[in-house]
Amino acid sequence: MRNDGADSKGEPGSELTRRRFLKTAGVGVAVLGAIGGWSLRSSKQATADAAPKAAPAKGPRQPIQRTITLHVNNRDYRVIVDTRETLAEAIRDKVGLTGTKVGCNHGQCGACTVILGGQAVYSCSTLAVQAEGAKITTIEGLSQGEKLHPVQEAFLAHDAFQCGICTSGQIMALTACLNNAPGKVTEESIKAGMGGNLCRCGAYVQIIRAGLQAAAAMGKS
Amino acid sequence: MESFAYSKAANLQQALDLLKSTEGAQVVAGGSDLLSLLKNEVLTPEALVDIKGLADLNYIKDEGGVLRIGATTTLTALGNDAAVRERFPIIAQTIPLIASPQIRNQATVAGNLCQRPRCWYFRSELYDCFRKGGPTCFAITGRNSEHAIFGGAGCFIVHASDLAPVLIALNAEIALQGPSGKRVLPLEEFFVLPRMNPHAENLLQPGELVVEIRIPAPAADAKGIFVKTRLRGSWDFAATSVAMVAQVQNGTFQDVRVCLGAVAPAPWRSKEAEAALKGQAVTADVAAAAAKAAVRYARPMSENGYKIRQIQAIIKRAALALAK
Ligand SMILES: Cc1cc2nc3c(=O)[nH]c(=O)nc-3n(C[C@H](O)[C@H](O)[C@H](O)COP(=O)(O)OP(=O)(O)OC[C@H]3O[C@@H](n4cnc5c(N)ncnc54)[C@H](O)[C@@H]3O)c2cc1C
Ligand code: SF4
Repeated sequence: MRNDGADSKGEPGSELTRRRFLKTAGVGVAVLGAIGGWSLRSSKQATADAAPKAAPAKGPRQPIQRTITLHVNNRDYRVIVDTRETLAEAIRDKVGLTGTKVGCNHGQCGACTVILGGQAVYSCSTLAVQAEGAKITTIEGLSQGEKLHPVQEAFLAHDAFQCGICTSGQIMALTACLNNAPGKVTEESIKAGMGGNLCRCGAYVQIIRAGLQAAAAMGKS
Repeated sequence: MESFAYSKAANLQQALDLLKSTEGAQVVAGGSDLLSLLKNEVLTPEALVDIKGLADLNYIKDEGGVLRIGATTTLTALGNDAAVRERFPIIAQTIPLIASPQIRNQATVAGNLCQRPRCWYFRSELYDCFRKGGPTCFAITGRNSEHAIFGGAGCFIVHASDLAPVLIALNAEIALQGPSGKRVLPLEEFFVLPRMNPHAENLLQPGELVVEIRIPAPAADAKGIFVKTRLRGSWDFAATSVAMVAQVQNGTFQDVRVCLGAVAPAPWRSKEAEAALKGQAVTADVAAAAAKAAVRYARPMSENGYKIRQIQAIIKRAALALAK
């Protein structure tokens, strides 16, 4: 859950976030399916054995903030982050680069992929404070002015997207995959390198074609 | 997410000191497992000590035949290492089957071994289940298709690490360091079953860190294989897995270690399968007998009986592949 700091100002009322409400009321069965990609329990079964869990009796903790420098797309950004903020949240909300998307927020879909220290990682599963000092590239950092990166060109040429939500993650993953390919890029190596990026529109075939075109353009085929 | 203090350790000693001096502190490495549990408020540590950047735990060394792997080595680095690829092809073969490229770039070897259960009741803050100190295991009467067929008692999680069965089949040791010093134990003994402790998956004590994995030099004629079944072709946790390392001479298994994954709350060494294979010229019949022996004591739950058939199929497949 995104934490916007609003529930940590010490007012008891603001503590009642959606998750907390569900937790306290013991009716949160419907959200279970969103966690970890597992199948949903039938609600009948769930009400039978889901004993309501009492809210823990502890005072609210104070938010802890840090001023850090994030090195994004060859620029330094001095930002104030909550220790809880993920790298994805900091890139979007603090650095202001919203090309990086958040899908599942649990490291399972790939929409938040950025390149960190030369390797593709999930920015939703890294804390912003952990990424201090590392060289980060986001989708905004690929093109050189108006000149698109070969992977971006290839995505356009092959229509390798539909709704677009996964696209920046796909492009970042493919870019890292091609950059780090030890030898000749093949359809198989693209499939292996892109296994961590889901596309619900099912543009996989076009993404692989885009990968082969970009590999050729980058001298990797 | 509950608020937490954060400190990045500069070296191993500082990490140990921070863990000792900070109340309610938890280790974070790649964060690929921990962050999800923090977001769901299943875990609410008051402080995180970040060991991801520890250069003194990030190494792979070949010392007199013993391969020493530092705790913060990433899965990607382990799979790409030249010595690993040459001397332990079973590890290089396993790495691409673990999670996704992005996770492998972040995930550390120690984090993989210490990852928490994937049981959906455990991962949801809505279920105060037995492992989390509550009164009951919801999987017993609820959904248990991913749960244990061996070793469950009170709790029926499976251990989700693919690396653990492989390292156990290779007879690896684990080195831990904490407030009371350093200890080295067989990796197999590091993991615990719920009947020993239903609230933890391993022997780590408060303030203790995994610092190293050591793999002894394998015999010259040793061969290994890892076979994993999963619902999807791209990233997925194992439904079942088997790691088998054998010394094969003229088609006969002189020695063999078999460790099953995703079928028990800890990686599950199958002494039954080992006994059925050892000293035998492995044929289809011998492999089938070993597979049958391996599941003799399996106790399926209402939805996970398929694991009994799958584990037999992959034990046979692994044994026959090594016999070739
Ligand atoms: C989408 C997805 C798919 C996955 N699929 C697979 C799979 O197919 N096979 C598989 O094996 N795994 C799989 N995993 C699990 C993955 O391998 C782990 O998340 C990863 O290895 C954890 O490493 P980490 O460094 O990120 O650990 P963290 O998340 O940082 O830590 C995990 C746990 O280990 C503890 N810890 C970390 N390092 C140490 C240390 N040195 N000493 C003591 N305690 C420590 C932490 O306190 C925490 O409790 C998957 C994970 C995800 C999110
Ligand atoms: S299997 Fe273990 S973790 Fe899952 S509900 Fe039962 S007690 Fe909890």
